Amino acid sequence: MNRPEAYAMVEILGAAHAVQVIDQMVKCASLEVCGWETSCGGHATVVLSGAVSACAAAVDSIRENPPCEVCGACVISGPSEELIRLVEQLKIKLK
Amino acid sequence: MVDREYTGQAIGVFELDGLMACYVALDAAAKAANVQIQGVERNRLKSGACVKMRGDVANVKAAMEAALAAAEQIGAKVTAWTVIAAPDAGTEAGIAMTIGK
Repeated sequence: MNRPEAYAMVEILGAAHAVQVIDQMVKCASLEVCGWETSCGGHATVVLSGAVSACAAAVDSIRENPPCEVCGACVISGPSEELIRLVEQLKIKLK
Repeated sequence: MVDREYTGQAIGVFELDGLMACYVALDAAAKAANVQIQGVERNRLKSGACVKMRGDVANVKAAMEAALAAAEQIGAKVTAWTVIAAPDAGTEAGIAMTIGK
C-alpha cells in the first residue's frame, strides 16, 4: 500500500452534505475517497487522500463555492504513521 | 483497535471542538514526538472528539504542546486536556473502555 502523499479533510454539517462535498472534490481533482465519519454533533468529516496539489485544489474549490455551511477544511501533507493507521480504519468501514 | 500494549505508559488526552481539528492536532503531535495514538473518540459534545496518546512522559508532554499549538493555529477551541504520568491499572480499564464504541 503506497503511502498517501496528503490528506484533504472537510468538516460540514450534515451527512447529506458529506456526499455533496465528496462529489465536488472528486470531480475537481483526482483523489481517493478514504471515507467519512459522522460525529455525534451531526457534523460529518470527509477524508480524501491524494497528491498535495490535488488536495489543495479540492479544498480551494470547496472554499470558493461551498455546497453548504463548511465548518472547516484543511490539507495535511506528509501524514504521520499514526494518522495513516487511523485513516486505514476509516477505510475498512467504507468497504 | 486496542491491539498494542499500553499498560504503564503515560497518557495524554486532549479534547477539541472538531473532529477535523483532532486529526490535524494528532498528526502534529505524532510528528513532534514518538507517541502512539490509542484512540480518537467522538463524544456528545456538539461535534467534538477526544484523542488519547500514549508514550513515555517526556514524549507525551512534548506531543501535547505540539497538539495544542496546532489546534490553536487552525482556530479550534480546546475543551480540555490533561497529561497523566503513571495511570493506575484501574484507569487503564476506564481509558480503553470507550474506544471503538
